[in-house]
Amino acid sequence: MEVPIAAPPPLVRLDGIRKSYGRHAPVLDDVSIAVQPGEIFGIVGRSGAGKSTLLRCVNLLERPDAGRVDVAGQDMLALDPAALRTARRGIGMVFQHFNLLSSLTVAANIAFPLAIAGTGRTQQRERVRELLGLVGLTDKAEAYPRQLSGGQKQRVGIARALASRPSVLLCDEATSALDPETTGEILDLIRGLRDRLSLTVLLITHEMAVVKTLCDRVAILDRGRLVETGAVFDVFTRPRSAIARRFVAEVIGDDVPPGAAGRLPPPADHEECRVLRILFAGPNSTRAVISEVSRRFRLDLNIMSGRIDEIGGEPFGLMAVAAYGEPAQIDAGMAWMQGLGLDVTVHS
Amino acid sequence: MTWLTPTMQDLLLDAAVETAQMVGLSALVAVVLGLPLALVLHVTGAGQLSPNRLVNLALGGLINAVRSVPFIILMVAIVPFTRVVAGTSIGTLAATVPLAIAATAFIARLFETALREVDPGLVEAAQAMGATRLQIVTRVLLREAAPGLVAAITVTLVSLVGYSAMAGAVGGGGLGDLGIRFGYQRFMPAVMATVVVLLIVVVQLLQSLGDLLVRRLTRR
Ligand SMILES: Nc1ncnc2c1ncn2[C@@H]1O[C@H](COP(=O)(O)OP(=O)(O)O)[C@@H](O)[C@H]1O
Ligand SMILES: [Mg+2]
Repeated sequence: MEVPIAAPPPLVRLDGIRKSYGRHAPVLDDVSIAVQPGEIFGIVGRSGAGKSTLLRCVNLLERPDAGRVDVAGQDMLALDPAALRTARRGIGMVFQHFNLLSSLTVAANIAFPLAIAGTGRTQQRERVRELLGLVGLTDKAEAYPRQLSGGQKQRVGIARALASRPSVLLCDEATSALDPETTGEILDLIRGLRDRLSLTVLLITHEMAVVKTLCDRVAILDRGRLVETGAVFDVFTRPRSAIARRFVAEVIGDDVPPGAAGRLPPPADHEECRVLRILFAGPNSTRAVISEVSRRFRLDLNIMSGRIDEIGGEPFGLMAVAAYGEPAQIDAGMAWMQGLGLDVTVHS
Repeated sequence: MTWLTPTMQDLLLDAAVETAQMVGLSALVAVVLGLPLALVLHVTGAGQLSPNRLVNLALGGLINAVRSVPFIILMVAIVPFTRVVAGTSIGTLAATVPLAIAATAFIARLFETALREVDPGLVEAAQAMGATRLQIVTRVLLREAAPGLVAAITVTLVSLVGYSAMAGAVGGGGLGDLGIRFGYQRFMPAVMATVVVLLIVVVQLLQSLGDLLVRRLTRR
């Protein structure tokens, strides 16, 4: 008998979340996301888009005006205060400005969630030692936060967030206060922890580079509305919304350099000039295809930009070409390339 | 030093003890009453742990009212109350009552300011970990505000030393009173100078001690 493999239920599900402050435009307007167990899900958006508010709706630091919040199968909005506090222990949170207690040592900061949960001293010490090892700060146990660098402080913040063995880690701009090198280290750490502890991570950021290096899936939030959700590779290679294209362009550059289209020579009589955006995902060789399409369809191809990049270990090439030729030939060339599995669109 | 007769030595010593009593006792009362008041004032503020506009406004208004009454008037105005609490309306203990009331209002405001200096992010982090409100107050607010709270106590002690001089008006005695009675009214400038020097030394000591403690507590 065949048993259908059902997708696992999402670990975090936000459904139809709405939130406004006073009579201003809503900060969140009907936002729904579902985060699968074990994935790293990113929410990007400009400053003020509502990212932090959305993230805070997960552990109900912010109560939505409407909508549903489910974490690990629990309807969070239905919990009484005591049950909510217990549920929050299963949701770790990491902050942009670390939010460590300045009066406590690193070890005491990491033990803080355990102390408030009433864990015994010996167990606390044991767990703190484990966590210090996990984030690579074993020698800093007795230091105070002010004696640490930003990256070290965030490691403490992460260790603290993991102390109660949560199933979900929420990261609010966890690397936005760090320099690029330290950012890379912290992103590596988060990915490593996800792999080792089978954590589920929901992070928000205004930096698309963070999404590119760390996330599996991404949602784009713009003025309180979700404009696009998808696998990171798909959103980067085939952004559908204008805002997604702008975010993607920040990281992998624009397809067509601004102004370049205006500098193209005019086409000859009966010919046309069309700017094509060609996406090669997978093993196809860029150059062979370009020269072959040029020969087969008697097209003049003027390469305007091209690059090879990699997202989540998957390589892809992106090229913008100005194609000169008879309209029918350009159509045929496009169809031929599409037949090879390339993604060809006309640049508008 | 012909003026420093054994009698005068006794007077100075008595006065010093009276000042210590007035300042010490009223500061103790102020800390004990002022801290809960400051906590209530703080947590009932907008966007805080237990926002409550009514309680916040009422308490804030009361504290401001007490603080805006000149001490000399406060002292006279509450004489009936003083009589109930101290059993008398004159003497060191009687002077301590208005001092304690003024100091409570004063320190409550200073404590509240110290609590407000605690980064709200820390409260939020504790909430995200599932801390109760009581845990947040004791383990986050009070602990993180400790240096500010100690600084507030220092400022209050120093102010009380000055205010206690006015206690002579209700027969409270103390160093300030001695300075006025002998130094000014009986024209003994040496007594006045001695009293002033003593007060300066006491204030310096209090301030240095407070600063030392604040430094010890500050890990930032
Ligand atoms: N407590 C609040 N009261 C009023 N407005 C708020 C509050 N919190 C957030 N906002 C507003 O909501 C919008 C989204 O804020 P936020 O979620 O912090 O955005 P982001 O994290 O994307 O930068 C902003 O315009 C902000 O001013
Ligand atoms: Mg934010």
